[in-house]
Amino acid sequence: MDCQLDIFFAEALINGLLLAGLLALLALGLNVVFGVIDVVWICYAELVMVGMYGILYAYKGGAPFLLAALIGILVVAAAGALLHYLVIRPVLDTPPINQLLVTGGVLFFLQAAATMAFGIEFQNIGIRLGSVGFADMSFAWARVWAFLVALGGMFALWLFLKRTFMGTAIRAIAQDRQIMPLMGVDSRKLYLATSAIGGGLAGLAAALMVLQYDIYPQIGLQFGPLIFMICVLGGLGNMIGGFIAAFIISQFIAVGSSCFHTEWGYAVAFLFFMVAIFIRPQGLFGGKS
Amino acid sequence: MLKLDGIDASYGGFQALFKVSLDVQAGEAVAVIGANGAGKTTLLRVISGLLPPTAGIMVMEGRDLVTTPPHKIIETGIAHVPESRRLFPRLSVRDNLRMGAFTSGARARFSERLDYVYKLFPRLRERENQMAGTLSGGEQQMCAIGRALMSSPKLVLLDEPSMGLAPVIVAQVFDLVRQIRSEGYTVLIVEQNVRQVLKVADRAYLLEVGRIKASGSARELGDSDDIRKAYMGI
Repeated sequence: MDCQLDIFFAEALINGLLLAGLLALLALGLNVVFGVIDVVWICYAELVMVGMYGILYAYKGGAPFLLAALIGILVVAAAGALLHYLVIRPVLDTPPINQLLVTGGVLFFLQAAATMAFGIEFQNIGIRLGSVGFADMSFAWARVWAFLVALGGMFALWLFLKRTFMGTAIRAIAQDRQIMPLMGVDSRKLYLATSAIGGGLAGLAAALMVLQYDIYPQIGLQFGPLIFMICVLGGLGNMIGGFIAAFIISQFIAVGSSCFHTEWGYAVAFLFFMVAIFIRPQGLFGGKS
Repeated sequence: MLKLDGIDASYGGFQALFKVSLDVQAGEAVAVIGANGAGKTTLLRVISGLLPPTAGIMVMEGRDLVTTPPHKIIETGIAHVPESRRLFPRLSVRDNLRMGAFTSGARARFSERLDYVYKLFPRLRERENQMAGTLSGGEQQMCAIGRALMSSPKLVLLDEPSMGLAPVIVAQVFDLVRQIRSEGYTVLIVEQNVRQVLKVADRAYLLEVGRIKASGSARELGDSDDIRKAYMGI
């Protein structure tokens, strides 16, 4: 154990904060879908993977990065809507375990398809944004941008949910599904829109991750468990809870990595998660809200 | 305005409505009275498309309701205030009213209708930013009726507006019903509180075990010995 309140510790704290923005964005996509449709997309991190490959190939195909990112967001939004239409809708009124299993099936399908299409190699988009120095500390621009854009994306979603008719309807349907027709709302369309939003958030996260991480077909396994842990810790479906939980978990990862070996960061975070969930099984901030 | 002819409806294998025929003329207040389980709520659910009928004809101002998808019924001018109000408890009063104006036609007139509803029920403006679930029972009914009026309906369906409310509040709720009548809305109201509802309605139908057993002016039904004995405890 080597934990001192020195400059490296401060750097770890700030890196944890930057990571938290990205994780909060990832958790938000899953929470929006669960909060509204009551379905957990087990294959959520694989949608992010699809988005990362989409952006990588669009960029390599000659598109400027921002256009490639936009394409990636739209591809994953469409994938989210398609996932709902083809896989979720037929099992919407069946027990939750069926919904878990079918989206679990999609997870394996996407991993296998990505392996067949793109190979198992680690690929990198090859964009170097450099780093920014601050008081003897150094932070990768890719992380700083990821933090800022993730916060911006979450704020945009918040505005959408609060200010628009569609956003209000999305909050409403999470509270009372049955009476939506009386409001003139076609629930099926609203679910499709919500799924596209969940996918779009995954796509935005993919655009931010592609600048920081190598891409490979199993990258979902690296992030998926972390995202689910954050969502459950914050209270599954509770968007604000997920946001706060992302900041807690990423500090455990960052400080855990700093104080112990890097490899221990995730283990420390999961240990905290297990203790927390033992004390508060419904999550730190309760369920859907 | 609204005409039902020979409507049958079932939940699974259980038939809840048998050959129900009724009509509502523009400007009228029509009551459907009957005991708990007589099929009153089912009748309103059929009209607003939540439960498709298994037989019969339903027409609203020339438009066939049977083949209209549930979320399009509101566009024919029918707004439904459901049983036990069914507000969105964790949305503000204003957002609940916004949901009442969800259809594209109503959306365009949202701020105008919001002003109108706030003028009609000033209490709702005071509670604008409060979560609907924290309102008192009477205020919730006010909010539910306000939500229905946001779509500029012609016909308002009211399902047991007095249910679950304290007696003093019940009187206030029937005042609300009188108020929207005087605003010119046509009203179809379903109630167990027969004595009160017959004071508000022009005409009434008596529903028993899914069948229309009697109909007539509110006064005729109110004077009928059978109804007084069975439903008004006299």
